[in-house]
Amino acid sequence: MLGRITVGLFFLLLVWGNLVAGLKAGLGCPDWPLCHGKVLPPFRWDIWMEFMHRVIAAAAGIALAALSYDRVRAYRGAAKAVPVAAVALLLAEIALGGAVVLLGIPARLTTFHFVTGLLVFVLAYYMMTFDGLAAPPAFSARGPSALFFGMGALVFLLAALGAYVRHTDAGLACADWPACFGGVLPGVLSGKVLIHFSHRVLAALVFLTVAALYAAAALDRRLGRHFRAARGLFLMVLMQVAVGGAVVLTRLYFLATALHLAVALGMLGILLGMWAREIRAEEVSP
Amino acid sequence: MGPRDPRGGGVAIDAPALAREAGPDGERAGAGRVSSALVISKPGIAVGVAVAGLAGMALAGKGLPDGRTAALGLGCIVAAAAGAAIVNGLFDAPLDSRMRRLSGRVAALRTVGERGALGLSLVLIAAALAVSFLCLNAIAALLILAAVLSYSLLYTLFFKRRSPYGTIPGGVPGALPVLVGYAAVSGRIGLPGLILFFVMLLWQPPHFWTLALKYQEDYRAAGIPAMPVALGEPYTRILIFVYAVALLPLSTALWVFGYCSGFFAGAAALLWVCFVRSCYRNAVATRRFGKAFGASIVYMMGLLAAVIVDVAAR
Repeated sequence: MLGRITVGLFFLLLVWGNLVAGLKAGLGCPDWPLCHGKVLPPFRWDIWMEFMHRVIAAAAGIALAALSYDRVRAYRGAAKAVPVAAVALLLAEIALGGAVVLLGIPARLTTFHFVTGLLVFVLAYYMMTFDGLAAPPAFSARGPSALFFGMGALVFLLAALGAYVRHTDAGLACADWPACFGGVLPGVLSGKVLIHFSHRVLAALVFLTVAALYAAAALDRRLGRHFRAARGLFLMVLMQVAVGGAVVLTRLYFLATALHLAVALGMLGILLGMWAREIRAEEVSP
Repeated sequence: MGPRDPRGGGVAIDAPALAREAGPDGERAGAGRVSSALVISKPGIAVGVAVAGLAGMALAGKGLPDGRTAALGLGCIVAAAAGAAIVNGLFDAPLDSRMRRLSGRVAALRTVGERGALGLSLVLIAAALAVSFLCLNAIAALLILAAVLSYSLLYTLFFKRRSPYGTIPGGVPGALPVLVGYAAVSGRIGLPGLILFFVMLLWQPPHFWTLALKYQEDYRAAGIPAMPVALGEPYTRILIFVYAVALLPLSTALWVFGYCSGFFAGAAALLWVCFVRSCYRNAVATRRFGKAFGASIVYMMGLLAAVIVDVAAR
């Protein structure tokens, strides 16, 4: 239960952070750790959006610390590195957050900040799935589990690239959709257009990979137990394509960008779940 | 804020198991209460009414609303929906405890405690009313109040328990978020918002009846005169199909009156064909009511998304 709560809080934290950035409310609280010098800041919608971001971050941090403590006690051997890494990354994330503000929100560091948060989300998901008692921690990258792990890594990279697109202000470098400058390939591939177009190319690759997985799960009996998850993943990637289009066509409307991230996290969660299920199946019948 | 009920299985919490897991560890018990509070607030419905509210906002502003209005309006709608859902759960607890489908929600309510749940619901509803009145406008606040009262009192305590047709007026609170969103942007109630309001009103009976058909034994056990229990399965199946068919002219009225483009009309027609086909195949010709229920959700979410996209792209 604590694992689910932690993952849910980190999901909410990442999406809420995206909302705050989209609403340009990131400086709603100009000071830290207080907000406008108070524990409870004055009521103004943008101040409270940022204030709630901090509240969710605090709750997520406490939940992660409790979960990691629990897993350090439950895990054996090298697996203890997972909760330790989660807490270390959380501390790094907090330090990076401060550096991002102090250095004036540089694109690469801000992207790194997001990637660190995403890694914490992945580790929390791992600790939720493998509680160390009923489900001992395990790792596998062979057979279908390698496929799911690789696809998860691909979605992770796509999300990181999406963050880079956003923080370099390249979200509207191709201002039309599904075409880019009216064609399949933009005339000039450099600068922001290259960054934006790379995201679209990688997204197309993810789409094709997920479609292939769905087809394989339907046709190959060895993947039969993953059919429902593969179908859910395929529906999500279809939705993600549509939401990606909406992000461009609505000119980066904050709800569209937040939904884009939420669906990406959902896809990552499904792939991690498939990976964990496959590992358990391998353990039952190696 | 309507009579819709999400399927319990997906979010069901086994309270005894929860208690076992929680044990003496205070943090885990706290986590269980947080999770249970989420379950009794019916987050699926809250998300659905938020999308409806956004569609109302888009229609009123002839485009996507600004960040302030969207954040405040949707926040108020979600908070009010969650608060009203908890009040509904409190009033319905004796009935819900006789329904297997809702065992998880009953266990969650037990975990949170009646006083805790009541306190949470009052805080959510009061916050929604205060913020909407102070930061949006009085019309939006009044509509939120109407939605909360009509769902948690009128529908829960009266319509639901007395008549198989209670679902029809009971759809009003579920459709009001469209008008809340519309009023949040424009400060009044306009025709495009009213059309979408009536579309949602017309959609909710078949949506709920497919669920009532699937879990009719639960409703019978609880003594709730849902349509299949009171008037039988054949009558309910016919009504579902009739209501589903009637959705086409009403939904395309947004295009006929010029509030949405041909793109919306095409999308509405396509979604309607899929929904009616699913109703016929799964609720009339066979008894796969769960699939028809799922199709009804896809239909309404698709229709609301089509409104938002169409208006935003114009």
